[in-house]
Amino acid sequence: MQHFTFLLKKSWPLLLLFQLIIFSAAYAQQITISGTVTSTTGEPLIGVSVLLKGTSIGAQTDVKGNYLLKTANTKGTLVFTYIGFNTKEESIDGRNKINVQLTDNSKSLNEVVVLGYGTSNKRDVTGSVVSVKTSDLPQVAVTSVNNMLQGQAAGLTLGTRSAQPGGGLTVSIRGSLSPNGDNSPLYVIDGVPITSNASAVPALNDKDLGFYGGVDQDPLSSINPSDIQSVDVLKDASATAIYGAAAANGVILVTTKRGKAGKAVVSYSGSYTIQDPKKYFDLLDATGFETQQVRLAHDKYLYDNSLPPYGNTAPSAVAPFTPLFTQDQINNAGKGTDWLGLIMRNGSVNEQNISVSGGTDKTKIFTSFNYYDNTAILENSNFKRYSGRVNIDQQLGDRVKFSLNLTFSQINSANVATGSNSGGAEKYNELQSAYTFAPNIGIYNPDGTYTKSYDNLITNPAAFFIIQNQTTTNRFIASPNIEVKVTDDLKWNTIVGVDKQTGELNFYLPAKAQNYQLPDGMAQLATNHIENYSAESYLTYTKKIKDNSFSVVGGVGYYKTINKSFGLEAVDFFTDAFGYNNVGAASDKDRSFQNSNRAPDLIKLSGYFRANYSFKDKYLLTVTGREDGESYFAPNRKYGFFPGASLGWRIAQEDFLKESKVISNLKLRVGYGTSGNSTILGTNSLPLYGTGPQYVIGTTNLPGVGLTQIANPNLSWETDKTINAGLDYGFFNDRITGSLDVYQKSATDLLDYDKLPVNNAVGRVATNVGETRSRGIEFSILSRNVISDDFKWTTNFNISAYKNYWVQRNPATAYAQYIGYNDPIREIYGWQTNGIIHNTSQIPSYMPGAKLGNIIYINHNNDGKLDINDVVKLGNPDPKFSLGFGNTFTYKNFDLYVFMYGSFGMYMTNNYGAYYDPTIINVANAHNTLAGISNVFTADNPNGIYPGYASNPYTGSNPSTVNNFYGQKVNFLRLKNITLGYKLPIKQSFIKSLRFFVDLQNLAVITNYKGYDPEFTEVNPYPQATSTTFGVNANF
Amino acid sequence: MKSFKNKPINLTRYAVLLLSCFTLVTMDSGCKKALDSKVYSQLTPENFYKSESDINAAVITIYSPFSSNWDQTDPGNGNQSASLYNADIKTYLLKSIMTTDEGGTDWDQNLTNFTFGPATYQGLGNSVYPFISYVAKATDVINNVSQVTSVSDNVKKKYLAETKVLRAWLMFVLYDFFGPVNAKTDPATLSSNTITPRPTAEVYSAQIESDLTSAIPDLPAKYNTDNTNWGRMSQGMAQMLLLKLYMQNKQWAKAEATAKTITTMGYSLMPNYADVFNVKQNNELIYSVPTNSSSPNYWMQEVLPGDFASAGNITRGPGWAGYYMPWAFYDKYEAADTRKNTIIASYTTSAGKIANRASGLRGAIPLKYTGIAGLGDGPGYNFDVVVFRYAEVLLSLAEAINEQRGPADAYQYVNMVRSRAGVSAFSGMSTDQFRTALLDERGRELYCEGTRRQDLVRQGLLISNAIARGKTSAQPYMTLFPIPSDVMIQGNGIIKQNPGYSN
Repeated sequence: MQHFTFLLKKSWPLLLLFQLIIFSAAYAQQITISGTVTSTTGEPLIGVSVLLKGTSIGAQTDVKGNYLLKTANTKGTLVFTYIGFNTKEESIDGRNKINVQLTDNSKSLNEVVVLGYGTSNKRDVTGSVVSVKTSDLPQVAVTSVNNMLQGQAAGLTLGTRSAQPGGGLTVSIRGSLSPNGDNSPLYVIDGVPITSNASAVPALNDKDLGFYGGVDQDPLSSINPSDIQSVDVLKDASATAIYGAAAANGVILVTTKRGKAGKAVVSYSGSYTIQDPKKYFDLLDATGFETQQVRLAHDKYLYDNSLPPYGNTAPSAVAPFTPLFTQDQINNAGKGTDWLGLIMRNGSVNEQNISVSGGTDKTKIFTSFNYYDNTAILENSNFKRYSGRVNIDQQLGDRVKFSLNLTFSQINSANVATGSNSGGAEKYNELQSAYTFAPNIGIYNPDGTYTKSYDNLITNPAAFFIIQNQTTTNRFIASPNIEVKVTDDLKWNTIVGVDKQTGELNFYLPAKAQNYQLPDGMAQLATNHIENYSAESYLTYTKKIKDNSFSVVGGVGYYKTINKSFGLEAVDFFTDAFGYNNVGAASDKDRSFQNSNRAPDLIKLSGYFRANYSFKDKYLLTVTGREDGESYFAPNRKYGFFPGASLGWRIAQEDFLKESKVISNLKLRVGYGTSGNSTILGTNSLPLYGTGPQYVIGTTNLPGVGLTQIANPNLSWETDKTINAGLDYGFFNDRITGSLDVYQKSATDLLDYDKLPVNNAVGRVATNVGETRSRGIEFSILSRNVISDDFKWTTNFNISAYKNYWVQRNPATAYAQYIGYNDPIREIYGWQTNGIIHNTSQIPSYMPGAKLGNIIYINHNNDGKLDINDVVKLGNPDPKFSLGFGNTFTYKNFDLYVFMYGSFGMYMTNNYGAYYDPTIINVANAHNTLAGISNVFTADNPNGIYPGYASNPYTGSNPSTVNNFYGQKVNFLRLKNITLGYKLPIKQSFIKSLRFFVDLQNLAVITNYKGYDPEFTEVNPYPQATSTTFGVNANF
Repeated sequence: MKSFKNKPINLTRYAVLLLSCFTLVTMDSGCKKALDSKVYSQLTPENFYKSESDINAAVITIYSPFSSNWDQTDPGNGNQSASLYNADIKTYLLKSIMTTDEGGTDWDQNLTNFTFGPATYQGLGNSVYPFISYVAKATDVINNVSQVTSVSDNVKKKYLAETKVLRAWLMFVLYDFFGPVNAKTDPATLSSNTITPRPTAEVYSAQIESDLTSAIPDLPAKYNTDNTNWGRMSQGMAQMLLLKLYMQNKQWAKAEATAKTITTMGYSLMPNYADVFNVKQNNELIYSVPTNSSSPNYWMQEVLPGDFASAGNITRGPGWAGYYMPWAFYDKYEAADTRKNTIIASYTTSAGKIANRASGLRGAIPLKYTGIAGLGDGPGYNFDVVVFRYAEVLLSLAEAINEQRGPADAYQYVNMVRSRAGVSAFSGMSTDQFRTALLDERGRELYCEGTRRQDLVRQGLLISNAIARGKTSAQPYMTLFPIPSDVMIQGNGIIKQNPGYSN
């Protein structure tokens, strides 16, 4: 490690010299080999890679299937590789013309796998890597490639927080091991690592408004999914170590499409999707609302006045009950206003995609343009994307290739705030206001203003339609790459990445909306810049000497990330006419404010290498390593070294299996490696004072400055160590293929906060302490069940399971006694419950002060009192196992794809539970709530199953504050896609192919969960829709 | 491009050029320097505590918990707590009101029914205890300001004194709710992570007392006529906090002496009760939390009913119907009491009906700040939140005298207050009778200003009073709030829970 640090710091001149020497190597005389590559049916194959084995000398076939190759070696072997076809090897034997036929077989074995700083044939891979060919997946009505990956790769979990168009997902590989750090993987797009993979959309400032943005944009939604050729997921550290300190959570490599030599191919796909909202919250209608309000308010009256059955006060001693609604009103209430129905609508997606690719031997171009327009299912919510791409490969002479990937996108969206808020009813967002606004009230007053509910803090749901909440994201990614074949064996790549993302927010809350906090209107403007720059240079050396093949990659990189933002809020406008376009007209200068921020730039310097060695194509060894220096690391630990190594044994190549009719492939892999997580570091190692507190002196706001952070000069990365063993298999000439992996991943030196005593000035200090571990197993199978000419049936199945748990805890932070030292990371603790008290005989002896309708807590240790000693483990929200299951059928010109995925054994709390709290509806300023409130216990409904109004004197003694009254074990299986396609039989036309399809997305969820969608982790999530898409794919 | 073909020499030049550029980018400033973290939007020890403005900014942070604005984000841990004198139900002010007979609300059943425990108030709801970190922040400010060399001693002394009074005030607030807590006042312990036990009430009170007495010489007497500095800690404020401390500890002689000192400081009762709350910086005020439209007073909005249309000269939109004054408390006022003019017992609803006790109105509306007439629908108003005033000093003086030697000498003080309210003078009472009458008088005079709970606790009546209202879950130990569960867990057995509560 010491040595490597030295190498990094001092190696520049050496490296330069080394590269110069290599350039001066002489070239031997060359011969020319040419030929044609066709399929078994005689069609020329365009873009087949022809490579002189063991070298980097190669060519691609042109539009007629012809290739031309120059080599000095007349005795070598040519390797013909083409996706979807069997790789073929032909020894040259002195020939000048070699024609070959490739057999159609989409065997996974021969797929090219992207590994970072290079590719590899899948059969030579020794780490745990999953490749997903996105072209096999339905690409309609999804905004981000992340949406397409759900359930497709064992060990890759995508958590949907909400169904917001373009919405973000929580991505994790092999479980989330860092309790406080970020658990999302590193994305590498066409070789460029995206250091800060964040959305630039500025958040709404909730200081006065109270509800949050409504924008939770997946940063990858700026990349057109149709441009993506493949996604490779590096799971174990022996594979990810080459990305060092950024790779602890795995690496997702995204490769976009490139042009192929030949006649230009124009592809068009267009689709139209209808989005149908799924059943959301089941709210009370006007009759139900008035009935339940009076019923529960009466019970409150009994309890508050200690009347029977809650107390012994004589009814004559207190004022009589005054109901909010008379029986007559209730009888005439009818259905009233369906507020949820009002804010929800049928959505649509219009997507148009056109790409042109083609080129010559020297110049290859892929260009595309995408238009995506989603009118989403909540009123005032839509998402529009324009994106374009130009990928150019230009051969400059025989040895230099210049490539440029350019993509730009603009996303315009109108947003509706969902999720939580930062206050009470005055700060409800559109969805919350629709749940709670009384249904017995109309939308408008006679004078045209919006009505108010009994709790007049709630903004009228319809008033959200006139709120302007618009964001624009512009993203530009350019990555030029120069590849120089220094010698036949040595390649030098320099790749530069420029990724600039600007997000803009324009928000106006009109006075007309009558928001209680901001009755005279408010505007917000904000911009946010995220810039990722990278420059990498690496050498690749490939050599084969008899049975020994070597391949070595080594290089250096420089990375910089800039993150800065600006925002303002302007309060009180004499007119709504300006919208957000004239903030200077705001009159309340005390409430108006500006803010700006620039995070400390992240600067990173790296050196990395990978060496592959294979002997007789049977025994494989890979060694990787990376040295990273980061500006966020504390002064005492600026550099980290992350090594990895893996071994592979292709058992099927051994003599005893070579002739096997059953086993066509068998490879054993074992790997170990380390990688780092530095995601939450920021400036946490520094002592800082921050602004924020304020106080009025006289009539002026004065800014305060407070100590925000104390120094930790040793703060640095979290290290993940993975040991992985895997088996890749293929049976019956690879009719059945797949792999099995078992792993143990340990996160050490966890990024954590020492919780300092609460009486200290600063409550926490970032530190590296503790260890967590994950153990898991992953299995995948791809089976071509039927492969007759007319009918084909392929099944794809993967399943994964893991357990993660604490190995070592932070000794500096006291934790509650009910927490076991080696418990699962996200274990949930609380009191167990046993229903509610329906009658006095059910009052447990240890709850003498309990009232009717109170929850019965279980006195776990039987000591006669409820306290911390009764807190037990309730369950773990991580699934016991997850699976994905896809089937593709083709019959003649028809194709059918059915895909489902699911997770099993999660502990969850029913998110409807909170709405059964009677205090929501029984007060004078009553809120509407779920129809299930009718099951709440009251004196006149003693069989009610949900807790009644009486406050439980024991709840406050539960230090976990959690109980399992609404908890349950949850399983779900989601029928994600059914796609039916029909290919028009076209013989001779300018149209090469034409396919029509219908795709049904998100058809059904089979689940035992009692709340809303089990996948949605956000409170008040954007509602889910079922999508029906009609589309066409055409090639010209 | 053609020229590159088969000419390695050009290639080499090309490569060297590229690599040199690349090397330049990375090596320009040298590896070591390139990896330094530059801080743009925050301050560091290198550039903070350099001027009087810096000191002022540091001291403002210690003021911030007392704001009338909704909540404060603790810069030291990012946690939010409701500001102490905001009108939200989570605050010190409202928790003081709603555990007594002067207030009613639907918004916190556990509070009003005395069913709270150590785990009841978590996160933002746990809005008093977390300010213990501001005691440490104040200690840190005192420590840092003492070491500043670039500012004159007089300036330093003033800020040090201000910070000490703020620290004492924070400590008093915590003492009021939780008893003595392990607040950090010794700079040597600031960076220590060892959990310290709770001190005795004597040690804790002595610390408050010494902060206040040592600050007094360095402070201006009061700011009532200073528009720019109104809201800063003054001698008057320090004396008031001393009085509050002595009253809490029933140190009657000291309380009497302190109250008498305050009577010499030029404060006076406003002739008209309502003006105390409507006139900024009036001469009765010892402290009010300054407001402006970004940090206004939300009390009036919180108490007005949801169907409010008009009452007397106040016509405006509905309020948030948060709090009310139970009729039983309202009945403590005599018919002629002018203080009732600040309480609404009958109003016209938006439907044009009269709402009052007879129509089923749940309680009177303790509006207090009647000056909002004609000032629009809120929600916030720029009426400073009244915290301490001269009437309380007079009533406390009367109580301290009565407790020491009976009411004879005490009548004059309580009757100043009664006379202003237009009710007859007290006379001819025993010590016990006077004590009871004075408790009610304090209730009527200081309603919804946060003193009722302290008064009931001091007289040992908080729990019996609650049980009499039907709050049968109230237990004798509930005169103090429990130490929050998370503090107990972190305390690891070293921090002891208040008696009666589970850990």
